[in-house]
Amino acid sequence: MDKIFRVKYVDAEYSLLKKPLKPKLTKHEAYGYVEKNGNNIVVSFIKKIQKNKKEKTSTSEKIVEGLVIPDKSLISIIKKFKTDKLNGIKRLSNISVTWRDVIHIANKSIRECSIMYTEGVLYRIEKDYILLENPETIRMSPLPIKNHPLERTTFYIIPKTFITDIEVIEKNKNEKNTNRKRQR
Amino acid sequence: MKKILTEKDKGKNVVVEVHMWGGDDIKYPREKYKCVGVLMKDEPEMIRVAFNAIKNKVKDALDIPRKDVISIRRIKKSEIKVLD
Repeated sequence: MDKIFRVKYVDAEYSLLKKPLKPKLTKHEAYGYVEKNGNNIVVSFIKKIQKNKKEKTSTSEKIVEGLVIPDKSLISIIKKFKTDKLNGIKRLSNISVTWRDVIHIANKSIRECSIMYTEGVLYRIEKDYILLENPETIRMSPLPIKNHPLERTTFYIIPKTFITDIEVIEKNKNEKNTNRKRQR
Repeated sequence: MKKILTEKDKGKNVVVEVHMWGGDDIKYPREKYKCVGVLMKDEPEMIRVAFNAIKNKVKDALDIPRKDVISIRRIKKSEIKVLD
């Protein structure tokens, strides 16, 4: 029998408004059947009932509806997490961030989080997140590569645990990176 | 089908597991599915199950016509594993 889970996690957030987002990560909660896939947690809201009870869910089987969240999005991990990735990066620097995002799945066999790439100004560094001003975000995976969201955002909150890579953008590098922006 | 939500439950989250018919053909769904979530509505024609919420505001939910419901089981707190 599939075990029933209540999952408490955080997610990235963006704003289209001129004022910064509330200085806090918002708590999310989901119910579902959970499976682990590497450093991803798959939360299925709806599942097909296998005709044969011994039959196991194949990893290629489509998820009817659910979420894939980074294992480090869990609230208990967020509270304890420490990183040196931001050491030496000054406030108001232009930075690029590669990060893993929560993805909502419907009738797809995706079992990995989205990979996102954001460029923006490091507006604030908090204990558990960074806030970027005038960010532009591209979803690199799953394909197709596209802007996320399609609208221009003013602020983006990214939990520190989601970050896989962070770099300061120097001017000439910045020019090079503009080719990656606003792909639709 | 007997109601799961009662007056006593008002203001409390009632977690249910629903077995239901579903499939591509809306008129004759023939696949069995199950889902788990908070029972939001328990009406003669349909039930609504919510799967996730942000700051207690429901984000994803499913309306299931009563005719497609095979069974509804109220889940005890002890049966729910918390992953946080």
